[in-house]
Amino acid sequence: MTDRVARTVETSAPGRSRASTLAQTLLRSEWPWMLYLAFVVLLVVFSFASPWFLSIDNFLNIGRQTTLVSIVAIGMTFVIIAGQIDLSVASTLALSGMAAALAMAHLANFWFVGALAGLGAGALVGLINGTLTTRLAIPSFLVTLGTLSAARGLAMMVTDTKPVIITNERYFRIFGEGNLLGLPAPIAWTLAATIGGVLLLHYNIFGRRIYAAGGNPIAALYSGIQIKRVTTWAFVLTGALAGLAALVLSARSHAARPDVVQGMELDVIASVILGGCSLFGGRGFILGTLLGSLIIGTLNNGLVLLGVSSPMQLIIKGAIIVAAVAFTKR
Amino acid sequence: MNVSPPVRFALAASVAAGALALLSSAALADVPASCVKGVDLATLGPTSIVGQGPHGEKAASVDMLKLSDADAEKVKAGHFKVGISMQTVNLDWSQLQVQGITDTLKKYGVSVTGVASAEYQVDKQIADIENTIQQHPDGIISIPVDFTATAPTYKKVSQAGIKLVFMDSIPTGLEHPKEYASMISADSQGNGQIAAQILASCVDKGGTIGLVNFGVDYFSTNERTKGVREWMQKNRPDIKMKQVDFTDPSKVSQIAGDFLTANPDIKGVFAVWDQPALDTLSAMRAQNIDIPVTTVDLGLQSAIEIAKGGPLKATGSQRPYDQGAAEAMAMMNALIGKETPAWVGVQSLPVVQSNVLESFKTVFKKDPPAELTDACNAAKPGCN
Amino acid sequence: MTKSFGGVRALRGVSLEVRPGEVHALLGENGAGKSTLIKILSGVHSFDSGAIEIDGAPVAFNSPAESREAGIAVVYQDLSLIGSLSVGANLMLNREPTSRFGFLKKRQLMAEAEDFLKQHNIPLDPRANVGSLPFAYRQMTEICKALMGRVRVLVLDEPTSALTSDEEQILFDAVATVVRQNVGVIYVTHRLNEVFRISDRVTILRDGVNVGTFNTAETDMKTLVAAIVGPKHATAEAKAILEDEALHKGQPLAPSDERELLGLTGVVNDRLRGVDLSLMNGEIHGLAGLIGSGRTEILETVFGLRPIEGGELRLDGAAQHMRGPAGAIEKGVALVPEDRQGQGLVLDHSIERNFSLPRLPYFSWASWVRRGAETEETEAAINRLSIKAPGPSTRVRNLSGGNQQKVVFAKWNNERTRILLLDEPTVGVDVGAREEIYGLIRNAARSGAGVLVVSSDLHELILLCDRISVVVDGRVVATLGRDEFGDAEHLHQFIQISQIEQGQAA
Repeated sequence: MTDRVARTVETSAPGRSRASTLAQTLLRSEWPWMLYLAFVVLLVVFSFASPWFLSIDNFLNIGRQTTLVSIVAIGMTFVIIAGQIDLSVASTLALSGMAAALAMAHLANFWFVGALAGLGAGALVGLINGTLTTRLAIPSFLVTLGTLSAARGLAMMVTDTKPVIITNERYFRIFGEGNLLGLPAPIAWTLAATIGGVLLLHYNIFGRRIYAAGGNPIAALYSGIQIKRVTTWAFVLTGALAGLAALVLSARSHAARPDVVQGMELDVIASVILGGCSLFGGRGFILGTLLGSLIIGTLNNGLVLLGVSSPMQLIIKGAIIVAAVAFTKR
Repeated sequence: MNVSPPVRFALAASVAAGALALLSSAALADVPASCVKGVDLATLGPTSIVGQGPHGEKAASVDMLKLSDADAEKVKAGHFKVGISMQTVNLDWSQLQVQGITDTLKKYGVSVTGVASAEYQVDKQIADIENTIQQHPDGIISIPVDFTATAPTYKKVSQAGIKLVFMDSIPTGLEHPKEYASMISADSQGNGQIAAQILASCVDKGGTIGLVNFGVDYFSTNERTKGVREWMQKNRPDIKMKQVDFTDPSKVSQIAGDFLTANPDIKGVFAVWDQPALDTLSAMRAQNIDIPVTTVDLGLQSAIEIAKGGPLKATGSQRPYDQGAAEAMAMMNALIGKETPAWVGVQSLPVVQSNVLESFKTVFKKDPPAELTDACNAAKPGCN
Repeated sequence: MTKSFGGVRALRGVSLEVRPGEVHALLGENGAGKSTLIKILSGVHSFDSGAIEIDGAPVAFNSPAESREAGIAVVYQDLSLIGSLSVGANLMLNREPTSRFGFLKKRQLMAEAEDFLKQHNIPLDPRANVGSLPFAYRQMTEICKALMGRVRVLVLDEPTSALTSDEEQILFDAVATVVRQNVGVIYVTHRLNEVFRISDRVTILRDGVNVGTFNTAETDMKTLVAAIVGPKHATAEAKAILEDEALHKGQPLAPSDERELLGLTGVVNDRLRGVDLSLMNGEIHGLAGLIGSGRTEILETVFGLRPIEGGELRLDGAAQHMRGPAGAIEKGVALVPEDRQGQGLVLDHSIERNFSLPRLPYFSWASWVRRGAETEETEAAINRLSIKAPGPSTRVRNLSGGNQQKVVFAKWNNERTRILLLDEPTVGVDVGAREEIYGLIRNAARSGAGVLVVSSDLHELILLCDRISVVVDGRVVATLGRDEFGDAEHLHQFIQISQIEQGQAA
């Protein structure tokens, strides 16, 4: 046996270039730079590939098409940062749409009656999700798996699966087809939800509490954060935003149907994760989420414009999403 | 959930007012004067069944299934029992089918043991059929959720000495008449022809149309699109056709919208069933596109859209109640040992603005709801 | 060897040589690079330049598994055990005896684990569930786990920080057994007396570079302390550490006014069996006792984490009902928990965010965060507590243990804190930072707050406290004034005797 068992050898530290330090700082920074890059690349590729892609009208299309996912994903961002998950959003959306349409059909045919009913129904499902998760300490994955099923069932039961026709022109204009602030209504609502989300998550103490609850629930508890209450509110917010999305969808299709947007929760979660949220909580951004949703929406749009076959679209979409997450992750 | 008639009326009145306002702004579509009006309803659509069965059979007509008085007595004397296995009971279509079956069977004293709903799940349907076999009925009427996985289970039905009648399609490998008595379906290709004919009347010479097709290999939807293509090639070879496929019905709005963006030359759209047509309409509204749309199948919302006289011009409707009645007749023929045709086609029904109320009654066997009559009243005289 | 983290250069050409059969102590302040070096040795981190050799042959590894394969076994400060498995199953993890068909041979597993424990003279039951063991025993399991298999280099990172002196002795015996098998041991610690008790040689790191390697027998504490803290405060700090005891013995910090701030009378809950305790304004009150005696639980009860089932808790003489930590914080109670990474900090968040967390309403206007004020006060706190960090936005995860602990202190270092509860406040904290933390504690008391300190380090309690209460089996058995403490030895005996008396009484 030699004299030396273990030895670490000293060598000189090579000087590292400023550029690589900058690159590392960017890569390590909390902001999803790579995602922005991915989005730009996507835009450039599609612009060259399709003559129809690069136009205001088409961008408005993408904006409108991504509205539902974007709005719901903003709520989901709060839930996921809080270390939870909400699988019930698509069902909540369907139920909220039914509530809005039925309220206008049965109570009073005013747009705000429908709006209140839709948002209220969504928030109520969120409240149930949040309460069961926090008070009974059931994992939110299971709770919302339950409400995913139950809310859909309820939406189908209220009219025996029949659609409810909406006849309020004002409602159509405000939520679906008109212009607000010079923008198509769905885009305006997406923008409003985004701004609200940014303010609430990044500039309000509610956001700070959400981050702490997801980052380290015990440390948050030891810092006096009422995790249960904060988490419940995150679910309520998500439910209400699913309600808002339901208003947009039902106004656009002039009816509420109980079988709409099945499986949308997966697109929503994909957008949020693509946008830089950690599935384990404590990390994420509203603008990242919006970008995640836009990337998926742009992919959907661009692939149809290019005339790619439907099964091929699914394959390409899946591959690009996984690649984007791999690149975005540090 | 029920709405009291006065409330409905009030609501419908406001719909109508709104619809009128909307139409006045949007009715400046760039379509030929011949659109719809140039089509004679009496001669619209095929006079006989045009499609072929899944195995290339020629269609038999419903008339072949009539029972003589003597046969009817035989059926009554048999005290037969029949079970039903559906893919779902949540669609108007399936409810009307079941209603048609039960009404007709009842007339001849045949009882229905139960209606199982597979909720589109293969394993649920397999269990449903096995359970039904255990009840020892004399016959089973069923729509298969899937063509391959359920086939072995369906084979057990005939092995148990139970007569089997299919609606809509036949699982792979089942042989007539050994393993099933008959299959009754709509004339999907004929339905497609109706949609094609009306769409063609709305498109100028040399124009282009878009087909919003279901990208999953499914007999009845394939037949519809095939019907449109073949009719166009034969009767309007000047019209060019472009096609987009969707596999997820919840994404039609996006896909159809993008399809129209990428193909601004499209002057008319055929959508493979009514919900994709409605989703296409919603994308068109958002993108300020106003081109004629036709489809197959009739629902309340599509009926209202047709009644309004908007872009949705026509649909070729199935007659699920009548199909149900035909299934019941085929079953009873089989039960008393008569020969039954492999495939019976039930003729299509063309629905346009001028006959939408009456068609609704024909298809749904009930009076049209207030929303529909109000939309129709508001669109007089086009609708009546 | 060089290593950088997000702009922080943790190691700048460090070398270390360990001989077979020697215990080599590694000393240094927090942030000096000890943890980084160990993480490199264990394969958690890669290094930018340099080399590692074992038995003269260069080795390279990119993962902990490869490092283990090469014969380096590391026992971490943060435990890496699976709580739901037994001691035996943890020890045999990944080297379970299996039958020919891949089935687990459970009996053989337990037998092997038991043999191993006996051989090393370690008092652990291989069938005990790790999750239910006291911390010290979990730590011993961890060490045993590292010793399983072919080990050439054993790295112990602060192994004694949570051990009582009896348990410490067991550990040292175990280390001696290992050394006899010609294994090289790298022993990281903050406790200088241990260096003299156990090590053959000692290497000191400061700011990511070697300061020197000494033969333990030829050096003394003064030299080592000077080397650790560096030329800047060498004299001052060394003096502080060595003479602190004498210094403070002479001038007790007499409470300015003898008002009772916090009182517990017969407090009973799931872990406490009638606690009587009173904490005065401006008093530093120690809680001594063995691990599992209920010291920590007293703090948790005061902080509202454990509901009170019987007895009374008074604040300023008025009976209180604590409704969770939020309610306790509302009333000016603050807790610096034992497990700062698990309980005190959100590691992935910035210093700033951790700092403002307990006082979000204060840092907001109509619920909107006042970011300017937040940053400003965080910067002030970073300066005040001399936290070594690039800035308020630095992620807490990138800080060293001592600086992390200072961030936890910073959270509560404000005028609203009236009762400061400290659980092992200096565990894993280096000499310099420890002294600074003592300063913070004294300042808090001076400004009128009451401080309740739990510590396994009796020297620390004697140094800091005005009174010390001895906790045995969920009960305070005695409260000693400053003139009754005696020295650490004496206090230790007192605790042991109380323990035995309680056992007999029960």
